[in-house]
Amino acid sequence: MRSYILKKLAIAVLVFLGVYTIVFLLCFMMPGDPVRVSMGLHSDPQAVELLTHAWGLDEPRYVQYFSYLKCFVMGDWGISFRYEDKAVLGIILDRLPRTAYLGLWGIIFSVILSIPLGVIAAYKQNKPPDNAAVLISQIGVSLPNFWLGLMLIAIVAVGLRWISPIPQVPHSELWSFPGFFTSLKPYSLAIITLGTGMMATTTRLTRSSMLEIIRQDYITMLRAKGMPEHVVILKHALRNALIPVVTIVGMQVLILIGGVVLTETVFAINGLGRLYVDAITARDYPIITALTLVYAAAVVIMNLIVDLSYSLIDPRVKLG
Amino acid sequence: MRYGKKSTLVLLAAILLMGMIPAALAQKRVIELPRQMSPRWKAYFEQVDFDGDSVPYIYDKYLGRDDASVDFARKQGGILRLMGADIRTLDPIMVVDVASHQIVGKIFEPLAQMVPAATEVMPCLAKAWEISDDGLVYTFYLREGVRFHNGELFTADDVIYSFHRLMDPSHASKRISFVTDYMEAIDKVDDHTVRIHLRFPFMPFLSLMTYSCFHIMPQDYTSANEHFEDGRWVKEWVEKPIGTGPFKFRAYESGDYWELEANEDYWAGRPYLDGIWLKVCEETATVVQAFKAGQINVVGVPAEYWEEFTTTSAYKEHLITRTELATYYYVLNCKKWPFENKLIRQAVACAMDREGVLQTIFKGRYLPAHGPLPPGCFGFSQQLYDLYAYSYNPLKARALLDKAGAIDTDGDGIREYQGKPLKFELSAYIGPTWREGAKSFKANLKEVGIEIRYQEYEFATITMMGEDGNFVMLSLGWIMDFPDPENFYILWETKSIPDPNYSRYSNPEADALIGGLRSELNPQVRKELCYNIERIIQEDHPNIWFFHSRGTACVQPYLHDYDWGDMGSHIEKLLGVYLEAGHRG
Repeated sequence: MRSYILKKLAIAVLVFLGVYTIVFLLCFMMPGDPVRVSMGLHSDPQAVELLTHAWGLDEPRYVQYFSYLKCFVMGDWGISFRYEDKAVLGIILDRLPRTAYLGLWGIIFSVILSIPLGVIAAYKQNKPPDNAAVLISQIGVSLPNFWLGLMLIAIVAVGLRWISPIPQVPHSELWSFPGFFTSLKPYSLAIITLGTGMMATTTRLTRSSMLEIIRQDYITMLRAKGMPEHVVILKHALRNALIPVVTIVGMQVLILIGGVVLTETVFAINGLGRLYVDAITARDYPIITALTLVYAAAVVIMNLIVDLSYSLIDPRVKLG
Repeated sequence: MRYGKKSTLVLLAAILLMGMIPAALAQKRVIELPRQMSPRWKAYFEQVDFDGDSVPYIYDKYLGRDDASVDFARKQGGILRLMGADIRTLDPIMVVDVASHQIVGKIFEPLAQMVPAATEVMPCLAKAWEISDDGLVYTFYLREGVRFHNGELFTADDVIYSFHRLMDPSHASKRISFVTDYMEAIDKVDDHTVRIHLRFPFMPFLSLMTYSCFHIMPQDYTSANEHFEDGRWVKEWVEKPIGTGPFKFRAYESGDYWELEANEDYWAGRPYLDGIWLKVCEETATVVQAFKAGQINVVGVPAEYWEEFTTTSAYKEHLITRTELATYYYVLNCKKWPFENKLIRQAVACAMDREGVLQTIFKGRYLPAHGPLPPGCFGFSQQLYDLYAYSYNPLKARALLDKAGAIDTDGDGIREYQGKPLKFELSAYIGPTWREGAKSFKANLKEVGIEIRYQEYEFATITMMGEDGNFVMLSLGWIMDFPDPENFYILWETKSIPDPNYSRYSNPEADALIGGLRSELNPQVRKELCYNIERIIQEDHPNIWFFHSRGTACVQPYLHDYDWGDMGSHIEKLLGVYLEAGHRG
């Protein structure tokens, strides 16, 4: 197990280096000079020169590549081009709690709903509960995130006035007790918006995975032995059906990054998703690079967790 | 010359300097009011007898509101809640965007400021000024007893420090050219007087001085809280910016919100509001929903909600519409086929039905543009606007194209010019306004035998294309930095090629007139110069002018005296804005 983790970490370093190189190249291939973007039209040549120098953009590309890489490793992620007086690391750490909160609850929402729905649908295949679950997942997949968010705001927040359209909770509260739970109400619309798509996909996958498992001989045998149905389904069938589900939930972290951008935009949540989009518009290279690496780290870590969880779900899986 | 207690002559000069009432020269009691004024300011003009020491009295009364002691009990309190874009900086010398200007202009103040809800210049931290006869030396007399938010006394040293900080290349201010282009030096005469020497007479200098880069910062506090390290300035003071303005900094969380609180010790009396809170959100649908839910007090009405807000009675009674000093247009590349030919530029202008598009698609929200200068700008001529010779006229467009030698030789409905079919790309930055407009223009141009391909780009790409000249026709807008035509006409000066003169238009006659406008001090002569420049540019058509924007906001019924001038609502100090009791929570 330890050697497996070490091997994965070594690969992760290579992944980071590769991602960094690609992002660095992409930044310079993007049309538009960050200095000009920052200054707007009629930028004074003297000011352009000064700012280009201040941002280190007058150095040769390879010098910029290595100096930023070095700073990054040392923990100095530079100063944002867009937010000129702020350190990149500080900006990311300011915003991370909100995205993490939204993402975590989004996944919890989707898992809590999708797995029971998928199991019930498979167990009652072609019966009304199955049809209902299929319908729900079909609707969930079809609803664009953005539109769903706006509809929820219009109906729940503006029409019914149950909650305010924009969650206003200090980020320090989100990860404290009882803030972690009390913030659920203001964040509920955003969580539903983010989680619905994931919920629908996972429901469909759980259903098909369960259908495959419950048709297998060992399930028939367990039933023939007279084992109670709930034990057959929950202990023997579900556990085996979960492997592809766990993979897809892990992969949804990737989908989440896209979903978070839209959800944060609709609900004016200042998380990493919005920061990423704003950074691209403003050609804020330090933020783009740092955030891409943060996302790469999230994906690598999530993959590792998924791999490790296989051996927990199915003891036959050996890592190494 | 100086504002004196008893000198009528001095008073008139001061009024003239403030650009308020040129007519007063002829008949001192007939006051030509600024075109747009808040009711309160207007009331003072109507009440005050202009025969002596009234000018300082007017603005002191206005800003100090010492007549409003009764009002205070009734109006004071509450937080104004807004939504808008995120700020980029809190450092006045780095501000180039509207969002940053909005907060910086309430914390810090310049020597001269705009009249509330208007574009005329009036004193601020300088109580008065005089200009030498040659227009080269400006002497500013500073207010005494003004304190920064941390209690430091404001003096001439702070002014000198702030200007030097702006001029210091290591700070890499984006507006350093505002100093280096026009100013020779600044020196301290005494603790409450500074003198600025210009390189050449520059009439709009006082307007320029209202820009945020000229805001005054406290020398001791700022210099103690910033240091130069590893080739850049580390500014600890941004955690708590200190100025003299009517609002004090309270909190800012990047990308989330900012909050200001009333400055109880403001030199002109504290604002009615207890504070201002702005939540960062640019998603128009969300902002509108937040307004409908009562979460914010003001909403700038987005284009896609225009119809709803102008027809629903709950909203339309609380709409405020103001013209903006802005023009939106299509830049034609005068150095590229086919627009190196003036006739084709004119033909395209005639082919596009701007009025029709603005009326049918934009429901009259914007004003059609017939030239560079927007209404409300000094030098705008209604006559030139009305007599514009290139309004929608397909027949004339066809005739001009024929004259230019662009004929449909192969009968495919598209004309050929110099052996090539008249097909080109219209490059636009992403936005519903351009997209909707382009749909109609495409049909308009097709009618006269021109085919355009509409392509959207990010703004960063558009500016790069503009600078590189890698375009035929692209969309652009220009919002004035300061309210003087000079700020518009640089767009067509030869020396401004390629940025901001993307069209690469060059006309020595126009260049000479624009140069003359820059240094001319006589308002009448300046107006004539503007008319002549306008006439030349209108005829040459380096651009197709599309519209002049108007800002429209809807306010909650319990918000009062929220108003702004042609430069936009972001520069307003909101001193007279108040919330009704019961809505101040």
